[in-house]
Amino acid sequence: MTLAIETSQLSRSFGDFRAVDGIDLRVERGTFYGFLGPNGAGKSTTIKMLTGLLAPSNGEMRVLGYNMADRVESIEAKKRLGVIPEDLALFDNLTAREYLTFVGRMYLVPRETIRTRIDELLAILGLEAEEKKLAMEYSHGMKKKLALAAALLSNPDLLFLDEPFEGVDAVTSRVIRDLLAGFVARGSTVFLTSHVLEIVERLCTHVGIIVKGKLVEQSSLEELRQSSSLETRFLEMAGAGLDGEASHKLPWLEGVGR
Amino acid sequence: MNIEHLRAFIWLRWRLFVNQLTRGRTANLIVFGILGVLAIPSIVSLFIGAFVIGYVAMPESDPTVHLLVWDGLALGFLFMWSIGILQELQRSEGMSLSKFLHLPVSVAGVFVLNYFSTLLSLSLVIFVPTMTGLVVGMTLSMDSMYLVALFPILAFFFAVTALTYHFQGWLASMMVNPRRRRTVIVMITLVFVFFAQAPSLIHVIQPWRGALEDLGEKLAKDQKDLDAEFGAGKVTAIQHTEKVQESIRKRTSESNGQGKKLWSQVEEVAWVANLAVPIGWMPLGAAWCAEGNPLPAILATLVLTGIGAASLWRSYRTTLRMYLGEFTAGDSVSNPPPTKSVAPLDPADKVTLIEKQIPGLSEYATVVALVTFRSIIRAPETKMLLLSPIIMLGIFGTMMFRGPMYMPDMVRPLVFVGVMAIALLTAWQLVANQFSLDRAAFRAYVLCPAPRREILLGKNLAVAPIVAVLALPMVALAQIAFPMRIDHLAAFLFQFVSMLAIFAMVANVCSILAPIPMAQGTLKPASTHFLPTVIQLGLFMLHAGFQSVVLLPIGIEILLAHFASIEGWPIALPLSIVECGVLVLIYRWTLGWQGDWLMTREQRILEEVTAKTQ
Ligand SMILES: Nc1ncnc2c1ncn2[C@@H]1O[C@H](COP(=O)(O)OP(=O)(O)OP(=O)(O)O)[C@@H](O)[C@H]1O
Ligand SMILES: [Mg+2]
Repeated sequence: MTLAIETSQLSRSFGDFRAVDGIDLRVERGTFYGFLGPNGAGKSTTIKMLTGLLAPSNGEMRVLGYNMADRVESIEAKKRLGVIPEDLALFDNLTAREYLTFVGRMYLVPRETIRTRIDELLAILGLEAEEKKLAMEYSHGMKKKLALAAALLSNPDLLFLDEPFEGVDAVTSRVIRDLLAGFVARGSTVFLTSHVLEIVERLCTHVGIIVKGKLVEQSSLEELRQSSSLETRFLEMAGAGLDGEASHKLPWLEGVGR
Repeated sequence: MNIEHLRAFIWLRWRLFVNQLTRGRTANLIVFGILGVLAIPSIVSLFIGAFVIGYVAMPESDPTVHLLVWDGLALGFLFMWSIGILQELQRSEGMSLSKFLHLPVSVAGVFVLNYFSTLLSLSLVIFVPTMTGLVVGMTLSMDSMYLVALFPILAFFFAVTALTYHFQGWLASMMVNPRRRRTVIVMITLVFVFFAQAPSLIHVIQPWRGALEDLGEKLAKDQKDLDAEFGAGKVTAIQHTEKVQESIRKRTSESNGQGKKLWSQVEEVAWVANLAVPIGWMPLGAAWCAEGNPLPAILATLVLTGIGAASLWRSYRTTLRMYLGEFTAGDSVSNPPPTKSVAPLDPADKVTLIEKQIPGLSEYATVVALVTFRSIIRAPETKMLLLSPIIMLGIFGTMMFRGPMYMPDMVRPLVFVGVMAIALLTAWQLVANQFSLDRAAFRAYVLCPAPRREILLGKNLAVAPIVAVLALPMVALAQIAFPMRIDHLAAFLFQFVSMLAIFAMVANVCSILAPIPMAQGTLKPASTHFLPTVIQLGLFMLHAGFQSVVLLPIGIEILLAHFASIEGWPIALPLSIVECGVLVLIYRWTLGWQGDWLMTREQRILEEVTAKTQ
């Protein structure tokens, strides 16, 4: 069985700036992979490359065994992917139901199946009452949920989720966590980024940490937790190094008045 | 609000402007540099030009001429100013007050600053020097009293800008809801288009025609009668000449009389109209100044200043109320009550548009076509584009029905090709920049596993019915005015498909090669890059050249009729059918490589069209 994701020396530059700098990812099938890193570390850029939204400047990548640089193979891979990209991929002028129908048909899901799945997805994500609104009228969190519904609709083998919990309410967040856990338990793979370490700790089986474009850690969560907690490890890696001293660095921020 | 705030604000405006320039490429900088260098001399020359006219030409003229000159200037300014407002509305985010209100400055301060920053506009840069130049010129040549006319002019600018500022604020409160926002933009543009049509209507009606155009006709008729008299030998040559001169004198004075009557009518209407509309009091005041009476000018100044001040005040109150949350412009967005009755899963249930099947098309092409069509029809900015041929219809219609125009049978099909050209011209933006129209949506296409040629095919097919609907009213009109031979009409159907195929081929290349990012919810480029713009223009012209191919069948028929005297045979029809078949085959072939090409370029295109702007 091939790996779900495998990259070698994957890099991407914007001008002179190396946003992603030679990373080697290895993600087994059936794992729940948490991709962590501070703001601007290169997480979204990596996901964009892995899903074919952005061309890498260097390096190779295989997704579900398909070479993403190859035109024919990348289409094959895309048939089996579900993605929430960084800025989503919604149509402003379509309603939720229209959009989901479109997505379902693009993955050649039969019409009746599409209808059933849309009803179920909208219901479970709490969007039933909003299905007649246009995507542009959706709130931030509603858009995220709609994007998740679209990513799940074709029942993919591999899910790429760029901050799926950001902006989503607590109830839905719980629902999504359950959904994803079940999804992985049945042998599919999830690759997600998140800034909420508690969620990652609770859900993920494997973790990768990227800092300034370089992969500085990649292991199973268990291994990582043997030495210390995820948060401690992350802060170490991300080089915060302030150890609760942040407030001393801005002494003028203390006290009332000026 | 203090001087520090003012400086920060001005700096911010400047920074935004500079960033916008430097974000673009060097070509942009050069263009703007040239414009900037040209601006000052043009302002100066506007002033000098107006000054000379005021000094030399104006003093001699009659008060109504003064009035009309000022009316013209006022209308010109209003026209340009409203175009500016329209553009401002299209911009997704201007310098909205809400961005500053959390800062420790007073609402009033931000409000006033924001108002002043709306005054930095091209219309004012053009019209203020012109009007001032005119006044100064007249003052020097006539009477120092004329300088008073400056006051109503300044008050006029104040009133107009304050009124529109108020209007914009009101609109902003209407447009908090994004769907309504777009509808409002469309409505305003339509109203504007309607007013812009007014001059052409007047031109069609031509109220002055009766009075002025008859002179030549009457003279010619007299001449003919007199010639006949002379020819019959009833009068001598000298008598004849005298009579001709007599007729010219008589007719001219008659016509002059009519001209005078018309002029006095114009005078009456102009003065009354100016009196009726407060904005017209500026020209009134200025015209009275020329007569040496400053009183109306002073009155006009007072009234216009009052209007301006009241608008600003009301606008300020609206702003305050809006930010205090007491504002209720229109209804609030009402959530539909959550209906539990989710669409039943009955297979006999109504099939929605997006679920439809199109026979003979792949699932991919079908759904892309349906979704694209839905988006175009629903998005107000494209809907608006589709309304623009109404203007063309007006012009076209008046052209055809103005006078009896002779058009040989053979040439008539050309009219139809011209009509199609207009429809395609309108649709050009929809295809030539098809990946930018719904920015984030293109990401969905890149992510999806559909063969790219099917995406192109679907997107092209979505535009076909739109072109048909655009062309249909004009075709019908043309068919009424210049009925085509039946076989030519049939040939036109095939020409329609041929033209669409050519159009799609070229526009696809354009969309893949030179995507231009659009500001969200508008048809305005978010940033102007030199190269893509040039490519778009170039391909557009090339496209027009390619389209001339569809003239071949009818051209051959005309040539055969002319040189070989083969007439009355339906030659163009079979040729059009063959041509159409060939073009459709070529289109299918190009779709293949265009699809491959799109696949290799799609990531670049995505980067272009989703490039963050401002
Ligand atoms: N289109 C672009 N042009 C220039 N620089 C870019 C572009 N996209 C990303 N970058 C840069 O690449 C770096 C990585 O960005 P990326 O979006 O991948 O970060 P991230 O890890 O997802 O951060 P966050 O947690 O804030 O989402 C950043 O420094 C960003 O400025
Ligand atoms: Mg990110």
